[in-house]
Amino acid sequence: MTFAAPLFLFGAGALSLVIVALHLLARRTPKPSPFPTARFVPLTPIRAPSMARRPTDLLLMLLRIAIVMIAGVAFARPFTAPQRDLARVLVLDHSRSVASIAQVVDSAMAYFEPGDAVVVFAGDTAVILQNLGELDLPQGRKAGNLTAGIIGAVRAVARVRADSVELVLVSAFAEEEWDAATEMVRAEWKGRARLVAVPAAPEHPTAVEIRSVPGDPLDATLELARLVDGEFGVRLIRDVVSAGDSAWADSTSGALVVWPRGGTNAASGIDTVGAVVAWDAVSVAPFTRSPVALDGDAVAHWVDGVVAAVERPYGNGCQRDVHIAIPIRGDLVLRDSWRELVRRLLSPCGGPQHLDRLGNSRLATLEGNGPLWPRANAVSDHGAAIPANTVLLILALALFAGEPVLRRRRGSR
Amino acid sequence: MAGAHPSQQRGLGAEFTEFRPYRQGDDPRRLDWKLLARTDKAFQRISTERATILTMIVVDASASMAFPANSLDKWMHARQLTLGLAAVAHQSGDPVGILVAGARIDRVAPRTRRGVVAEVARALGAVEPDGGKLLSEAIHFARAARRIVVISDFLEETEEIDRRLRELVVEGHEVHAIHIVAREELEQNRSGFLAVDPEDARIKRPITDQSWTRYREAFDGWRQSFAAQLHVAGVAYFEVVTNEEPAHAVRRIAAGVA
Repeated sequence: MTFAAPLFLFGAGALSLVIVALHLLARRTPKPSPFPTARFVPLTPIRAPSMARRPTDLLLMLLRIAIVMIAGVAFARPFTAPQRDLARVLVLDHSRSVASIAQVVDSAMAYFEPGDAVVVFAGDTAVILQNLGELDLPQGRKAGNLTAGIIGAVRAVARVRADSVELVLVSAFAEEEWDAATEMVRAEWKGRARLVAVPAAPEHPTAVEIRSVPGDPLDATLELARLVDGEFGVRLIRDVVSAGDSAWADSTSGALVVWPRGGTNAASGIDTVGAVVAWDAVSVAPFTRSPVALDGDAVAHWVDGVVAAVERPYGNGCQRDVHIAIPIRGDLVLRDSWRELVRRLLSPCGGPQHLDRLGNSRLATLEGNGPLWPRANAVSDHGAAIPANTVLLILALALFAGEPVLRRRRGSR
Repeated sequence: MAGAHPSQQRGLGAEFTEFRPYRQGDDPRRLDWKLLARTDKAFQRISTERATILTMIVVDASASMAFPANSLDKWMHARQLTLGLAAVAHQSGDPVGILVAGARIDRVAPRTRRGVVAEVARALGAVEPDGGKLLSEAIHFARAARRIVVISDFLEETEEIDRRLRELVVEGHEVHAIHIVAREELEQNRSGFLAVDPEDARIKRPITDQSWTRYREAFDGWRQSFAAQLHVAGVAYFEVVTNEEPAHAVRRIAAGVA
């Protein structure tokens, strides 16, 4: 057992000594004794402070000391002694940014010891694990997010027992894994981190193979967006998906974008929406929306929050269903905003890619400096201290409530 | 009965003093007939009469005399002085008795007979110092005696006792005041206690090292003032501290050394 804030314990000890001194120095009436010439003694207050050899009201004194010491121990935040000097929280990048998840696991194994915590992040989610040995992960297809990984690491601190905790980030550190909150969340880990870089995955081909119908307005958009040149990594289906399309997605890890040429369903009434958002692109136009149930991770939303497009894994690739009816009239297809929206909707699995390595300043921010994070501080900062603190405080309060009762009883004797 | 003290009257005592010419009215039995026959002049034979003095010892047995509580030194000293002075008076042929003023007034009538000192001792032995404020009354009861000895600490009814003693002196009594003072009342051998007057529980004063000095000043001043008052009034005043040997104190008092 050790204490996170031992100063409270020393303070409680000092206060206990003060209590003992006060019980020795208590103002009390001296012992009466017959003295025939008492009338010649000058008039002075009878209750004068005097030093006794034994403390007065031993039981009351012990109760007061117990209150102070229990409260002191509670505020000192006791916890069981860590078994090691150093523990690690390993944050593993399971996103599409890394070339091989196996390399990530192998790199992490070099640092892992039993008792360490493992956080695996992909997309916006992170999972906390206790063991790395049995980790068997498929290759990630989602864009990674270091913010989610660091949040998971902060939460995982309470699971390790050591004097200090080291954060080990095993990642490709791609640009797309950094967001506006990363720096702020990184500051929540109050210690330096070890960055273990693994090879980044190659950029996935972004050229779109379109299987459209005559007069498709998307043709012009794709031409303008220059999405048709190069190796095809995305297949856009404007009519019906075939088995060959699915096989293609699985075999090439490509993105199969199913974007039907839907029109207005007169029976369901006209539902017009003013804008649609996909990732960081927004297009404003009088879109007509058909009520369609979509299953998968949302990648585009109507301006009122209704899902407009979803993506779900399919074998090694993915299928993206887009239900945005393109207005036939107007110049929408010529607008830059629409072009950017289409570029994102026709991006490889996981969305637009930015797999360039983070700049040095951001890497330095992630690495941090200074000492490792003392676990005691980490635990206290996140409310994961031993619940005994609460019990001790309640006990101290209960004794404190009983102190006046005992004082009155002692006084009434 | 002839005593040890010279009488103020001269008469038929056996111890011849002088001749004095006979005057009318003199007792013819005192005429020296042989001298009359030889000189034809009437002379009266004068001799010194030995007198006895009725002595009453008034002893204070109030609660303040029961001090210190463990040894009762003041009371024991008062008893021994009483016995010593009674023995001296008895030895001189004086009738001696005592009045003990405690919770009540006990009395041993003045006697000259053998065994009166033992009677006094028995009476004193039966008394436990307690109560108070009967000493002045006991002094009043002692007025029949010519010699009155008051043994007390004079802490109660001080003014009343002073007044009574003055009255006795004026009335021609031989008055002795023996002031008993406990050694513990003069020497500080402990501190940090609450001094409670045994005869007035309302008087409670804490004794500390600081207050002791002022206490001694007040107590010494009072004793000196009291002694001076009695001296001026004609009372023979003796202060006896309990660390003085009782026999020594008795000799000092009998010799009249204050």
